[in-house]
Amino acid sequence: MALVSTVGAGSSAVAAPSAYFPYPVRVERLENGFTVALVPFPSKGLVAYYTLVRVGSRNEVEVGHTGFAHLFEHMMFRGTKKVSADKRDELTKTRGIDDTAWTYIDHTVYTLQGPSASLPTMIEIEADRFQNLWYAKDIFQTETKAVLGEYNKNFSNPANKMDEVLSETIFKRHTYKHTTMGYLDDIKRMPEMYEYGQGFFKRFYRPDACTLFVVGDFDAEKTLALIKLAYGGWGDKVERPKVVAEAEQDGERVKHVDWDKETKPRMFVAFRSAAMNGDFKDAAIQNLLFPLLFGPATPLYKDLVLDRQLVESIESWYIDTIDPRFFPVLFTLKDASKFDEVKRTVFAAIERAATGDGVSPKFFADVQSNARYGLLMGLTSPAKVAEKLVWAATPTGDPAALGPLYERIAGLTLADVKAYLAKHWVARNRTVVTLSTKAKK
Amino acid sequence: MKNGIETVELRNENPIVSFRLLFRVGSIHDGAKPGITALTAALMARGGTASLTAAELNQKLFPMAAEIDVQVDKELTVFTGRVHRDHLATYLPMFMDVLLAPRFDPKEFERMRADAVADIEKRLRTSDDENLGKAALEWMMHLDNWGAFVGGTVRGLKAMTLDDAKKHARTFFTRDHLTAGFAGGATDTIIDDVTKRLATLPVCDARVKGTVGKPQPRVLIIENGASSTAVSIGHPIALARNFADFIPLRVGMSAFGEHRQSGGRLFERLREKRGLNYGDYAYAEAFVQEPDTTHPLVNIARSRQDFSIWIRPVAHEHAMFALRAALYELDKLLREGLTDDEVKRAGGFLDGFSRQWEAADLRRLGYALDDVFYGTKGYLGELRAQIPSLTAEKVNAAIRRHVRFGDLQIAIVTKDGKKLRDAILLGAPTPITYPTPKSKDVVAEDPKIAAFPLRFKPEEVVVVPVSQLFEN
Repeated sequence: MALVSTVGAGSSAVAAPSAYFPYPVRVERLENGFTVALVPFPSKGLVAYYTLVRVGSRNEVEVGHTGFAHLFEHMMFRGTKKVSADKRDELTKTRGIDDTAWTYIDHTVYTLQGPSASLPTMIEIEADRFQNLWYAKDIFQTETKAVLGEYNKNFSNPANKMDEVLSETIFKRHTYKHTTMGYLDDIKRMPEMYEYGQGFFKRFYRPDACTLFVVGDFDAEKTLALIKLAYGGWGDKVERPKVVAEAEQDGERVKHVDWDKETKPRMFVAFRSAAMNGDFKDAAIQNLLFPLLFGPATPLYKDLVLDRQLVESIESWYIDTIDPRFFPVLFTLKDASKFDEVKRTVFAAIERAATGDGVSPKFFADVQSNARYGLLMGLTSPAKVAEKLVWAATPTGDPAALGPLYERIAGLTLADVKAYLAKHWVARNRTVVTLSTKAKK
Repeated sequence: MKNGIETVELRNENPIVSFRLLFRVGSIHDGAKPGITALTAALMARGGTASLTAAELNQKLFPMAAEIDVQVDKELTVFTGRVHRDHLATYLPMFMDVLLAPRFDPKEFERMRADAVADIEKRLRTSDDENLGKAALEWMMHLDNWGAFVGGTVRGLKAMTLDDAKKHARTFFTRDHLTAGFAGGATDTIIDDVTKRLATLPVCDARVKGTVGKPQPRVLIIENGASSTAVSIGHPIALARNFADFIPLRVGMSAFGEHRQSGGRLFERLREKRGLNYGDYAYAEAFVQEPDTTHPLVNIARSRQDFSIWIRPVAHEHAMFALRAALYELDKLLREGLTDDEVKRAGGFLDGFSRQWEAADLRRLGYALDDVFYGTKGYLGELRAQIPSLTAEKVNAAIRRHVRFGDLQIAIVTKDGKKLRDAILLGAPTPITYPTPKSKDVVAEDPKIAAFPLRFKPEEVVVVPVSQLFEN
């Protein structure tokens, strides 16, 4: 199943459609290491053009530079000597191309969506900025202020603060310690980091760090020829960041955050998680854990949300990662005095799932069915398809990892999951972060 | 019409079948019970059916990854459903029961009501400065049912009973208010079956009395301890998709500030050149963003519409400058208009980008239902057809006919309301300093912005604590 990921530079392979991901993924690797994945999808004249750069806040190994991968995402819109920011805007806007990007821990993703007829323009401007980005110092400094504005926008939401605290409670050494947004102090110092930014581009934005996904309604041969021409001359190798491995966790960690405004009490329960690698077994299991233990069809949801009504909602932001990280589950409570009661109930449900009859074989089969149909139901547009492919491709760099991941999910047994829970979801690996409105004096 | 039910069909080869069951019922029908439509609809969609509890419904839908959801707006409520055709036979009776035989479980009612109260008290008022400003502005702009927050008020929700919800459903979620939309792999048999079942819904026999609130101030400053200041500006307009001026105004607002896109004037001048915030946008009609995308939600069709501007949070010390910059740009837009280049660019963008708004079946169906509401013949197609012939002259004329500077109202969410009010009323220049040198045009223009006249009378500028909003 790792067939596609093992093909070398200058090679080509096709991952066939399956019952899980019903579209072929044609993967071409150029001599310089740049990877192209072409996915035909019925979309009547629309394409998604997504460039996955496997560079995220995980790469921010230098002290005082948190948030830099995200800032750099902003800088990628500042133009080149050939296509200025204004020109880029004109080229995309007049063609109806949606031109945006996002950054997270393991990646930065540049997303263009638009009419198929605009594909040559997409190829031209993307290949140009990835090879020739250029911006002046004052432009850089102004953009750092937009990032500060984004921080302010995000941090009126307590969930973002909790995410920050959870990350730094679990990690002491690894760069997963800080969020992608970065620390406020570092963001405030960003205007002084112009030279660092230039270096960041040279070190990390290299062809072998990038995978381009083209999804939708397009001519594969013509598109590929244009891509080879536009990206073929791009050189150099990506620098591997010196990411320090995190030690095993050696006991439960607990933190509380006081919030100065009226807000719903919230509780993160998180466990250390495994990376997505090898035969994807751990990742496949991790992809099932939320619906299996906390989703709306579970006994725990029925108990906490519907029957006892202690909890308003249960959510998770688990994603598959390059390095071992954590599996967060967020409980939004109705009453801060019930943290302990909810916690006890959750721990007991996990315990029953791991060692007892908490999950029936019938329900396990339902969860696998939900995973399969959930993916199929989510493939509604070229952009949605590209997004799913990008997230699955990020940990290993295999552009066709999505289908195999879901095949792996279908092949799991309940015993696999119970063994995983018994091994990983134990008190030693657990972190609990709570947040509630600060009591008035 | 099929079996006496108005239908819209957009069928194709997709193995997924999509439904949109649209009722011409919304928060304007809440009458003396603010929030009742939203609560009733949520209870129907997620509170179980006569034969299945809420938990059992969740469990039945789960292996199919099938969806039942509801969206409530001022004038419309839409129940949406999606299922893979492998599961249609199991799914359909449950989906129908949501409308025909909702459970009205007292426990679910209490749960959802508590959640709706918490949504106002502990989310909207405190953790969502963006939507708080928008909701406050809508409330200011319309003094009757149209201004009310769709989620209701704290007191209204607390006074509501399960019988109120039952009665509301019986009275308003009726077959004469319904248009049933089908997309994707829907077949004749499915459509016949669904419309036959829906034809058993009762007919509406009620009328709602309008409620009229007190006149609101021109400028409402809401204090909620926010870490930065957000500003919403607007006024009602007598214009919607079914008017000839709408498309020119829509394209004009795109050039002035397309939602979550770069390149609009406001974005360009406030964010790009001055780094004031994350973004600045303008709207020709009511706009609610679809979660996790930048696309507009569909079926937010309204017979009363607003023009509005949204300034995302700025640092408190830049609030006055940002407010003035937005008004300065609007004033300039009205006086000098857009250029042909700007109109051409905005038109080109909407021509391509609007195709993505209808990429998925469920959204395409939503646009078709909005067409039924407005009486338009394919709004997005018409938008694209008109774009090539739009000139700056036409667009500017539409803007000048419908955007009236003197009628603007402003909602501001901030920390120190009194300080901001004083600054607004004092009218003294509020200059800005930047950490980095700015271009000549910015340096030359800034003093004009900093001194832009505000001209509000003391009684027109009111500061309120957030706890007073959406309370009664």
